Amino acid sequence: MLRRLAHEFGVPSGAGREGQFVVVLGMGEQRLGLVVDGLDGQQDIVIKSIKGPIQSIHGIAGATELGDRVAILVIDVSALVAESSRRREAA
Amino acid sequence: MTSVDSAASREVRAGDWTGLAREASQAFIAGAPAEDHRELLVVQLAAGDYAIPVERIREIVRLATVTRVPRTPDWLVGVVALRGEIVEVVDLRRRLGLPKGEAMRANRIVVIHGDDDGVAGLLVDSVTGVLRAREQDVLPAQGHEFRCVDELVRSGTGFVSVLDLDRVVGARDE
Repeated sequence: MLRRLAHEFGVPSGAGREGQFVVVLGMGEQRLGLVVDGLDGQQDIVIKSIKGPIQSIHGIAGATELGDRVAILVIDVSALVAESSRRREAA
Repeated sequence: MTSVDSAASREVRAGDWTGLAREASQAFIAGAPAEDHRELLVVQLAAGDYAIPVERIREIVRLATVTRVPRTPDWLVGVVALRGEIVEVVDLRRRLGLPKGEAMRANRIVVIHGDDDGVAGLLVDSVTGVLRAREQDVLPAQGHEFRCVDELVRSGTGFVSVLDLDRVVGARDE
């Protein structure tokens, strides 16, 4: 199954643009291909919880700091995989 | 209306925000001010003055890169990293139903203590100063700005709206 991450998150995407990537995620037996606009690199990080009024954001596991006070969101893979398999069953 | 000097409020207009932050945090460390006085940080939003009780303020920081977060209400600007801590930033203008603002150099994030050990960042147009108000100059207010304002404080020539922070950062009763 293939999903556009931009569509899942309701943000503008570079759909139709050349050089897009599919990141294949696995959770147990399930596989999900996530279409992304680009890849920036690989890094080991510590997932931190997000503090504030919105206690939990579906599809976001937390965030981390990449220096310079810039926060990067960490995708909740299990939530996205579960969400798309639920949607497939419903369809 | 009553004369201007009925307001015994002292407004400190400091040029630099670090001074304000220091003042606010010192007030916090020193504990509650004299019983019949209240210390409030005055911030500006869409040309209006709003006040935040200083005892709820943790720090004031410049607006840095905000990472937008999907699947959240439009009044959430996103998240910022503060010394390794990831904190959500609320667009105070939007939260109060005011017109959306442009990014400016004067923009600040006022980081407040939530309930328990929670924190939240409030995006404001600018920080004006600290207002020391007498208890008799504080009046109840109702139905203002999406019920996020619960009191008004007489200050100089006008009134400053005191924010009900639990409502501002409370995502429950939308």
